[in-house]
Amino acid sequence: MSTRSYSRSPTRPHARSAWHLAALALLLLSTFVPLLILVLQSVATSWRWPLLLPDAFTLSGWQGLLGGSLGRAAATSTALAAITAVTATALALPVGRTLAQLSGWQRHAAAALVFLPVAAPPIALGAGLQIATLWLGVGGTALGVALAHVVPAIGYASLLFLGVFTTRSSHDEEAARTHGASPWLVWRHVLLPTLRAPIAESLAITFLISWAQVALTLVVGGGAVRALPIEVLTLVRAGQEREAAVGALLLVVPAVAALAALRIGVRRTDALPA
Amino acid sequence: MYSVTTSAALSLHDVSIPFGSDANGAGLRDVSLNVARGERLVLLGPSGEGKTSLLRAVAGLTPIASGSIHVLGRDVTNEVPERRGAVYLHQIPVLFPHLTVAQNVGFPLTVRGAPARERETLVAALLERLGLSDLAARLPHALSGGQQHRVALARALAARPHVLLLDEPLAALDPVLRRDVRDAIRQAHTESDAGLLLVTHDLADATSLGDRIAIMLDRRIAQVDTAEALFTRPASRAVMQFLGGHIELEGTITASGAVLTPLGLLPLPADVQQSLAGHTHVVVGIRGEAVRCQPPSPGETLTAPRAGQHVATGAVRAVLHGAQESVASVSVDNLEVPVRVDALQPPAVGTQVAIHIDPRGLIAFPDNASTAHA
Repeated sequence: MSTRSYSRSPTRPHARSAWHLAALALLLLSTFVPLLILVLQSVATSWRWPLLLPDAFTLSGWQGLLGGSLGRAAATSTALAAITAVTATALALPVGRTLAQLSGWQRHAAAALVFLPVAAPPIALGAGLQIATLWLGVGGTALGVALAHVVPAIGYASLLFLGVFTTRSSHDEEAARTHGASPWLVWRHVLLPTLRAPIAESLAITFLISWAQVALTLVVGGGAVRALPIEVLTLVRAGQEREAAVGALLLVVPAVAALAALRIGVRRTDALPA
Repeated sequence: MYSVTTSAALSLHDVSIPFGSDANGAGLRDVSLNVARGERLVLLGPSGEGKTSLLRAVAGLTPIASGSIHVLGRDVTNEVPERRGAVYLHQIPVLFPHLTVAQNVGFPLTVRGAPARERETLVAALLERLGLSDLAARLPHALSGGQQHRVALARALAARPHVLLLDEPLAALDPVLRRDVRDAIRQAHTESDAGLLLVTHDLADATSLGDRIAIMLDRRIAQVDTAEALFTRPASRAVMQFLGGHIELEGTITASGAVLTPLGLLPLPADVQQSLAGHTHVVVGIRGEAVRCQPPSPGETLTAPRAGQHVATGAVRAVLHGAQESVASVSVDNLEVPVRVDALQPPAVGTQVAIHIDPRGLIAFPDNASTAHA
C-alpha cells in the first residue's frame, strides 16, 4: 500500500487538480472541436452564424464519395501513399543501417544530407524535384509525384532506422553469419522479423507524409494529379464546404488509424497504462 | 614451427590483427596455432591481449593484416563467415528472439535449406543431448541463463562446424551457473570432432576445460601446452608470473649446478640447468606444491638447514584457511614463504618448522631475461 505525501509540494492538491482539468479541457477543445465542426459541416445542408448547430442535415456529401471526385482523389492518395511508404521504407532500411555504421563527422555529414529534404521548405524542394521529374519524363504524372513524395519520406525513415540500428547490437547478425546464413538470409530470417515494429512505424510515418503532401503534389503534379489534399483545397477555395468537410475528414482517417495502432502497440509493451 | 595439415581442425599461421585504426601499430602479432580435431584448446590471458579479436578473425568477423587461417587444411583467410566452417559463440548467448528453442537450434539447417525431416531429426537429437527436449517450444526470453547457453551450444552443433569458437562463455556467471555451463560445453563437445577454441581469462576455467592451453601475453602466444606442462615448465618468467602459484627467489648458480637462494642451496633439474648455461644470476620459481614444512620431531632442535632433510627453518607467522587449501606463512630471515599445510592439522603460529622443497618443482630463468608481466 503506497501513501502519498503532498507536504513537499507548494501546490495544494485541489489546485493542482484544477490545473490538470483545465489543461485537459483545453486539449479536448483543440483536438475534438475542429473535428466535431467538420463532422457537422459534412452533413449540414446549411450552417450559418450564429446558429450553434446546422438547421438541416443531409448525407449527400458522403453519398457523393463513391464515384465522385473526392472518392477518386482518395484512391489516388492511397495509391501514392502506399507506393511512397513501401519504397521509402525499403530504401531507408539499408540507408539507416549504413549511417549507423559510420562514425564521427562522416555520420553527422551523412545524416545531415539525408535530413536535408525534410528540413528544406517543401516549395523549394518541389521546385528542384519538378525539374528533376521533367528531365526524367514523369513531370505532371502520378509516378513523378510518387517519386517526389519518396524523397522527404526517405529522410524521415532513414533517421528512424539510424536510431534503430545505432542502439541495436549486430551480434545476432554475426551469429547468423557464422551459423551459415548469407547476408540475404540474415535479412530474411533475422533482421526483418526482429525489425517488424520499426518497419511498421516507418510504413505508417511515410504513408502519412505522402498522404498530407500539398506543396510537392501541386508543384510536381502540376495540377494534373488530383490527390486528396489538392481536391480538398480546391473545394475549400470553391466554397463547397460540405464536400470540403467530407474530404478533410477522410484526410484525418489514416492519422487516427496510425495513432490507434500506436496506442495498441504501446499498450502491448506496457509503456502506457491499459 | 606450425605447419598447415589436414589433421588439424584449425591452423593459424603468423596471423596479425591491427587494433583500432592503426594498421601498423599495436595489435596481435604473428600468432600461430593448431587445434586438432576434437581437441579443446583454451586461449588464456589477461584482458586486452586480443583473444577475442583472434576468435573473431577466425570466424571472419574481424579482418586480419597478414597471415593465413586454415580450417581442415582449407585456406579460409579470405572466405566469408558463412563458408568457413567455424561457428562463433558470443560471451552472452545470442539467440534469435522471434524463434522458439527448436527453431533456434534448427536455424543453421534452415538457412542451408536442409529437408524438414532431416532438420527435425537432428534438432530432436541435439535437444535431447543437451537436456532441452522439454523446452523446444519456448521462446528465448522464457529461458534461464544456463538454458540459453545450452541452446546456443546446441545450435552451434547443428551447424556441424569444424571449429567451435567460444568467447568467454563463463565470464560473469555465478558459481552454480558456471559449473552448469562448463558441463554443457564438455557435454556438447564430447561427441563432436570439431576443434574447440575457447577464450577465457580465468585459470580455473582454462585448466578444467582445456586439453591444451595457449597463454597470450603481450599480444603474442607465449606458450601452448597442457596444464601440467605449463605449471611444471613455464616457458618464461612472464608465463610463470601470469600463472601464479610459484614462489620467486633470486639465486646464484654454483659450480655444482645447484642454485644458492635465501632458502638455501637448491638442486636444479638437469634440463633447467642446461637452459641456464652461461648465466650466473637467475630467478628461481618454486611451485607451491613443491614446498612442504614440518614441525621438529620430539626433542629435535631446528637451528640450521641440513642437506637432504630440509633446506631452511623458519617460524610460522600465520595460517590462512581457504576452500581448497590452507597456507602457512613461514618467516625465514626476512623472507615470508607461503607453505601449503595440512588443513586438519596446521602448525601452530610461532612454531619453528623445517621447510622442504621438492627439486622437481623448481624452474629458473636468467635474471637479465626478466619480462615481468604487469
